[in-house]
Amino acid sequence: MQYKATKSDSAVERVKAKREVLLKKPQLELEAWIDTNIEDIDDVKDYLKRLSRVVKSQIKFEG
Amino acid sequence: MSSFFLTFDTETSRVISYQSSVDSEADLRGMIQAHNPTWDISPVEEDDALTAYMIQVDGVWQQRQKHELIASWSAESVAADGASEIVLSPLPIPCTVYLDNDVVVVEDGSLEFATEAVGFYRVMVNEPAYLLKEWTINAV
Repeated sequence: MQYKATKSDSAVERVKAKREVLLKKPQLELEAWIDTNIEDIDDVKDYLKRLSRVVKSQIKFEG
Repeated sequence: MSSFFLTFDTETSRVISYQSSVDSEADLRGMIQAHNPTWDISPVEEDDALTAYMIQVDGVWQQRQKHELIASWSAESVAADGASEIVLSPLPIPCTVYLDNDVVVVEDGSLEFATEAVGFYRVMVNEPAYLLKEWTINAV
């Protein structure tokens, strides 16, 4: 029997945040990674998306 | 002198509890069935109580010991791409599988699991004739 499992979007985002390999790095290592890898606006957008996912997983917004 | 008894549901064959009692089997049965007419009891050795189950053979309830479920997963992680599958088999037929908050009845002895959502999935099989078994699947 085939079974396709699902999770809520918020649960998936929380898991992705917990598994964020880049932001797990020590701060100095992360800064070196940014200096090396952030070159254009697409890199910035991608990084901001990863960053915002982690931030949002830590905050329970009001309203 | 107290004895141990299983209490089970004759409609589902599920063991509900076990307990020691100083009452006779007939008295205890009467008390239990006064409140739950579909329940019955069965004398059991204390050491066997946790792993006993009941099965009806030719109209007679028999007590047996659960055995290990031999089912296993083809892998413990799966790519969360919606197409990759891992398989849990061989399962008893039929078999109820609990996946997180979902309940699936598998009729063909094999569960093919796929997902698009990353995360851990808790899977459990708790069939009457088998020891409870749990797995955690990681979708990556």
